[in-house]
Amino acid sequence: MSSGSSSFIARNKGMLMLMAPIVAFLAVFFAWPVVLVLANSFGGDGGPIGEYVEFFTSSTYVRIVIRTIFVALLVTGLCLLIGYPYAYLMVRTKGWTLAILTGVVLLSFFTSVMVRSFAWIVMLQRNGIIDNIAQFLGFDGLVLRGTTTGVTIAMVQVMLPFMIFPLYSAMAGIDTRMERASVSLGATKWTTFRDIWFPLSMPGVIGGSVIVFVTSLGFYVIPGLVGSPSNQLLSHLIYSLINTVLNIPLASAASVVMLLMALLVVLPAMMRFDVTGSSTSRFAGDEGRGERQSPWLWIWAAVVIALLLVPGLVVIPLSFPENRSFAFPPEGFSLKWYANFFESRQWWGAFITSLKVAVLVTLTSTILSVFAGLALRRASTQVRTVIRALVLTPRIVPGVIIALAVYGLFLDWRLNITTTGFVIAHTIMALPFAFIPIAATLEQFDTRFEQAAASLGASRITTFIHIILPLISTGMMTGALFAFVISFDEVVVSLFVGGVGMRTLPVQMFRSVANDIDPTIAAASTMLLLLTALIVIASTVLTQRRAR
Amino acid sequence: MKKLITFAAIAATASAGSLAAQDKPDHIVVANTGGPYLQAVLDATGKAFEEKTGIEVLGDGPQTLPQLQQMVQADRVTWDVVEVPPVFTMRYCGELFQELPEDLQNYENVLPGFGNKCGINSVGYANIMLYNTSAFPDGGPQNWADFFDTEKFPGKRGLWDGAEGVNLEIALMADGVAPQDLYPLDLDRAFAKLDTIRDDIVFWRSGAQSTQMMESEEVDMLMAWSSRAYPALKNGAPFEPVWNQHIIYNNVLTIPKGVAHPDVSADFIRTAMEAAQQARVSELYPVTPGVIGTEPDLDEAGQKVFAATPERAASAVVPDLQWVADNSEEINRRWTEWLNN
Repeated sequence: MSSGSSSFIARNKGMLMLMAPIVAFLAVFFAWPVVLVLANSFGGDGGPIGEYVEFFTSSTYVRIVIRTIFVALLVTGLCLLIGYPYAYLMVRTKGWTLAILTGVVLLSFFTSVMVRSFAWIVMLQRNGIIDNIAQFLGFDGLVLRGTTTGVTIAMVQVMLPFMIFPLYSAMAGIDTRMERASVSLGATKWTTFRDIWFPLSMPGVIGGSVIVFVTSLGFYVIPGLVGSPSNQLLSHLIYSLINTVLNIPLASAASVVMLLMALLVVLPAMMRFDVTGSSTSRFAGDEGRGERQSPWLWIWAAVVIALLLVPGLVVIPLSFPENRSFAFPPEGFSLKWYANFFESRQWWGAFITSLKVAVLVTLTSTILSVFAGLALRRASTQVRTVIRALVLTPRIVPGVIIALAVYGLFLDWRLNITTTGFVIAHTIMALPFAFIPIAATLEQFDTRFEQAAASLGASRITTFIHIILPLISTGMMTGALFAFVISFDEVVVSLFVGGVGMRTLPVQMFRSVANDIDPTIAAASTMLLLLTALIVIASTVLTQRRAR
Repeated sequence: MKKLITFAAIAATASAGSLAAQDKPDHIVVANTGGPYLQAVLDATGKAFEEKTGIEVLGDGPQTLPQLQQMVQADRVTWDVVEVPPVFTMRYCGELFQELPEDLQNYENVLPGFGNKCGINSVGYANIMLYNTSAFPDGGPQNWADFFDTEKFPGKRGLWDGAEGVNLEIALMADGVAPQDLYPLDLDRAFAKLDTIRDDIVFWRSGAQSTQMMESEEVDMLMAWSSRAYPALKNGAPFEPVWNQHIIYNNVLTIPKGVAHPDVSADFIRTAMEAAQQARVSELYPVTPGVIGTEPDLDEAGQKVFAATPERAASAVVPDLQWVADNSEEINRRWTEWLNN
């Protein structure tokens, strides 16, 4: 070993030690097994590149790739367009208005993707809600189920919170005095927005877009349930190659293609912009909040709120039918589906398992992310980019590939159908989401506080507990929240890792939607929705009281 | 000395106990598509097996092929009995599934065309056409040719999103091919025929979706599994089954390679094939028994979708699944191509 590299290690000992847990975790439980699966793509019958030749010489597969990129870009663009004014309004409001605007996004974010896919089916199908409204208004009707438009709308609705949160956090960091300076120098509102505000919000724009784009590329649940096989996306192709013909080499090649597409977009964005945090000043303050905003912004916000909330609300009436049926509007009234949720070992047991796993995942991914975030602050730009890419990759690899990889590893280690196994698998999926907000706040964090504490004789640990922790609590809470939701909502990997006697709630819901018409899923969703609403409202009330 | 004897006795009991444990597990796991069907199997066959052997039967599902492959490759098989589509056993007999004992391989009185050395058909369903009686009050389509006739019977058509065993066959029958001349399938001709109704197709992916399609009257006619038509008809969806040119389909029971107690697995399968269990399962869940002549006690909707009446069995089309299994990759590739071009 050269003296150069050993002195690098000596110089960066603290950073490397903080980095070690997350890197080791991802290397052992994610990178290694996934590489093993993807290596299959070079081991097909047609030689090392045989699968790739087959993939790219098929006009069908190429068309599916192009369609997937197109939909992902469209969803990203629409989320940005819809989310930007909303986030802008959020930073311009305070008190209850801000609390409501935030609460709505949180509520939507917390509503299970399974539930929302289900709601979108009810809304978009023929004789569905939208079709009936269109007919009522005198049109011929409007059936979006099975169309790319329908898939896009549903995906935008699901991805919107992932866009709004980073946008808000970047905008909240913008020094509003710059804006006032600009206006006082005679710039119009529009010029100020274009030349000052928008460029400063760029980290949020890029951060949100990267998450939305990458997630949309590999999305399985929504395109699978709302879309049609005749406009299928890459994730569906990979899934059916594996599940119906067991063609793992070709499926792996398709996954490598998807991975490369994602990296092609993500890496340049991360090189140019600080995706996980804004480098802007932190002296934003509350100035400019609570000013009168254009009525158009409010109308826009109202539309966004409707878009975010309606799918969740559609499910509520479906939880009371007399018969085992999802007809809309439902017939009769009965509470038996609620009773079934509490009485059935499958539903109640799955709920408890999910809760337990999600809490543990929240802990592990938050701790790993805080360590990594602390290390990131001391790292050089190149190291930062590499680490961010590593932590974000679980987002880029298709869920079914991760599922297959993790399942194989767990068979050897006897971790399937155990709490430990679930926690490990979900932590892989949750880390990208926990890491981004946590790393962002840690990077923005003013190191002078730390230096001041140190100069006054505080130990590192004291400084961490009394200075750093309170200052990064918002980012940490956001990251923890994300981790909880991701774990509580995960379907694809859990389908593999679970088994007899141990299943999570989304898997139970998935089984229920896939196998049977069981209004218990609507009852479970309604209760989850109410629980979420209560938590969001309670935390809002608490923060509002404290603010006074 | 007495101590020694006691010790030996304890040791003997303990080793006998562990020997017994090796012979007879305290539970086995049966895997199929899951949901209420799994529950029906556990309530019917599972209970009967428990009473007979004292071995508890647990259920798992949905079973997937890649999961099974990984279990077998890692030699950690946790499913003692798995129910799968016959195409799987035809492709992976000896690789993922082990050969069944002789008596199960040569079981008499089961519907032919589905079992092989590694799989025996348990229960199944029919791929039937149903039409919406409110869309066609004066009588709807009566055969697959009508189903493909968009002028005589305009409207949306529901089809399963899958390539194997149904869609190509019904397209060819609609194009005038007699059921006994279907195989080898003329893929070009089948896809050309499917092209003619392409714009009117609504695909369903899971059985529950097809039920929902009937209840919400999303389509005017559809191909559905008889078992999934049942809940819709029971809830009063205005659909009428057409028992003409329907394609029957049975899933098979298998023993994966590397299970701990293949004898116990085989015993479970024997229990599942007994007339009492065959009838009970189809009373609990509207599947059609694989054993010919089983007469379950069914309600009105159940009778409407029961495929095993002598009359319906006589007019049934039996797919050549061995041909389908041999050409599985080609069929699936062409299907994906057709869908996306």
